[in-house]
Amino acid sequence: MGSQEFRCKACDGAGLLMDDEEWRYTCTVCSGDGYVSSFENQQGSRINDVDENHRILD
Amino acid sequence: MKMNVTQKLIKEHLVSGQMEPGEEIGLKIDQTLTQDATGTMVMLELEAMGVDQAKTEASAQYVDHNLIQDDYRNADDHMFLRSAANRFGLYYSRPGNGVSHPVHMQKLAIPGRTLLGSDSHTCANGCMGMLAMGAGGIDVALAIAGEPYYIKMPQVWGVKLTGKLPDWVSAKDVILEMLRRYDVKGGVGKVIEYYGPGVEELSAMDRHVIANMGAELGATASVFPSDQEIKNFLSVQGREEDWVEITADPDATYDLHEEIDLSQIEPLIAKPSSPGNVVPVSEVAGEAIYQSYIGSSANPGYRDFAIVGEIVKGKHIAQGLSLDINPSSRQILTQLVDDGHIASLLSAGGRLHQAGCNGCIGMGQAPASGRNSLRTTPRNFPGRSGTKEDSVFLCSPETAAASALTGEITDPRTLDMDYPNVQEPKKVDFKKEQGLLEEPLTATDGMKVELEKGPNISSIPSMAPLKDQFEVPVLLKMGDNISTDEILAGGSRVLPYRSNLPRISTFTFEIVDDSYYERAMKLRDESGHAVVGGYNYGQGSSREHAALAPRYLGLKSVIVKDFARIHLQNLINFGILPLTFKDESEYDKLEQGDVLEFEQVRSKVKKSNEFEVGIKDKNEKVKVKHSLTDRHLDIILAGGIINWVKNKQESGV
Repeated sequence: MGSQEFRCKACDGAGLLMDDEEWRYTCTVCSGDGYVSSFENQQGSRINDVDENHRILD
Repeated sequence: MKMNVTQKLIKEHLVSGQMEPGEEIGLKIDQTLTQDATGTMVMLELEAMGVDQAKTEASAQYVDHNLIQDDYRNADDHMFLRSAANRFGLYYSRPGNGVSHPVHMQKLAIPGRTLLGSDSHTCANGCMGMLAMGAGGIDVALAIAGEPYYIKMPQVWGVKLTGKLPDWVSAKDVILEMLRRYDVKGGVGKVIEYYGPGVEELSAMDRHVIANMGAELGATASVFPSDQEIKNFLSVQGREEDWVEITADPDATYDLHEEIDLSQIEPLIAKPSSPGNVVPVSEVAGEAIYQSYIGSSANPGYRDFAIVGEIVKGKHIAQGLSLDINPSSRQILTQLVDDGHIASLLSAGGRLHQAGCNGCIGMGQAPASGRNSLRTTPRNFPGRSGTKEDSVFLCSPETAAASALTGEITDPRTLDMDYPNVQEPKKVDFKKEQGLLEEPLTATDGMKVELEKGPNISSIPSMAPLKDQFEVPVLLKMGDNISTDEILAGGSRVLPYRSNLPRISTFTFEIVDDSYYERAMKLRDESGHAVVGGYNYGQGSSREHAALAPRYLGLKSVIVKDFARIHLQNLINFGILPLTFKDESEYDKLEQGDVLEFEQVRSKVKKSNEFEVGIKDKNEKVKVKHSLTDRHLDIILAGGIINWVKNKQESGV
């Protein structure tokens, strides 16, 4: 967890995002933590597990 | 040539390509469905394309996702969708009428037709002898505009069903058995066609259950024959004249083979957190549960609710448990009321919700963190229920009902009662669902309709064709694996603006560089800009806005080491020139702030898939390449698929 300053912009701290159909999945930017520290922000993105149609599988 | 059902459906709709697995084929689309989450953008795309009226035989706009209205935005969306349905000649299914898939099956599905839907469970209507496929919103907009849908010719996977399901085992256990055997990627690139004597033992809605979760196997589609059972189903729906028989030719062959003896299946359950994590219910029996959830398009039938009503009738659910009843369609809800099943469910302690997707997609009924929720829904990947730390099991209605009574995961065969005998209703009282599915207006009346746009709905602005010569600064240089979530996240701050392109664009690339939006807007009407990235650019969830929003902000070209496939398609669709480095080491030549010189690019991309781009003031060039087909090139040169269709509409071609 971090401070409000590092609240994940992608999920707004909720830890979940939605795809086009509004299926929720764990935020890929903060890994569901809701916060992104300045250190974590420098790391490369994790590779999402998707199927042929880029449906998130994890 | 002896053909299976899938081959017959494809052959009947083939407009281009060869029916060889892996080859690109174009298919004529007869019917479409859109749900409200994806539909608003589809309707705005139709408007931008200049489409007057749907060119399909039947297209329907369903409102089943965003039923909870806590401010004006969902309500405004519903009004907009209704006006768009009227404007473009679509059916409109009102909020509360139910989930798109079972309602489409009841009202519009016709054997032998193709159906394209902007919802991944569109494959459910394969139960009706249709080729039904889920796709992106822009694909469905194109289909409504009369354009073919392009896919790679799938392999046809014949699954022979024999035997008859035992008591306490139902259709959900059949598809869970497929997932147990093949997991969530087992169906990729395949159409799963069910055939054999066991099919006759399954009702039309049982087949819907199995076809629906073809999506969880990753399949292109699921297909059943259209037989006497489908004729009976259509007859009950007052549409017997829509029936045609479609069965595989004797001795038809399949690319792949599987066989399931229905009599050997036992109650199954998918453990957290994947639909492919399937084990016998007996293996996890005794685990305490907090919630038992009935409904969704994965168990939408009358039987699926009535059997639960019969199991809990005269009893009471376990103390502290939530039994959530989510009817799939108003028609079925009405029938369940008329036959006393809803009374049984409520008397036993159930909670009744309106007909729609509801908790299946996390729209209400989100379970408590870390507590076991037993659901008849199709998906249990982490967070799909709306709870970040969820623990969702997928099972049949029988297992959900038995477990609701005991408060722990229970093999329904261990209940001390006879298996209830549920009879499907033989008729529908259409008066009780009057007005819930609004018919399309006539073309003459439809053309007079104005789209009702609330303050959060904005038309897609016109976008210019690709210029022959342009100079664009590199506004961002990024590394590998930039995801669509980093380009434009689908969070609660952002998604409410999906129908408002100028507004949603303000969030573009904010994860990568908070200054991007301001810098892009300053250049939008002057030069536009480019971005540079590494490997696997655009990975992650398919999200059309991740291409459309940067395009709105003036993004003209993306140069990367390689693209994720769906995002590449989205860039093409929205007229952004996608290029890769011919020599990946030249990635190092480019810096943020460099100005790229594109010269005679319209002719260069047509002449060759390789050309050079200059770096202004550096006396250097980078070699780039593209993998665009002739069709892609036409789209890119037109400035995107919206312009491409608009040009076709205007020229009358």
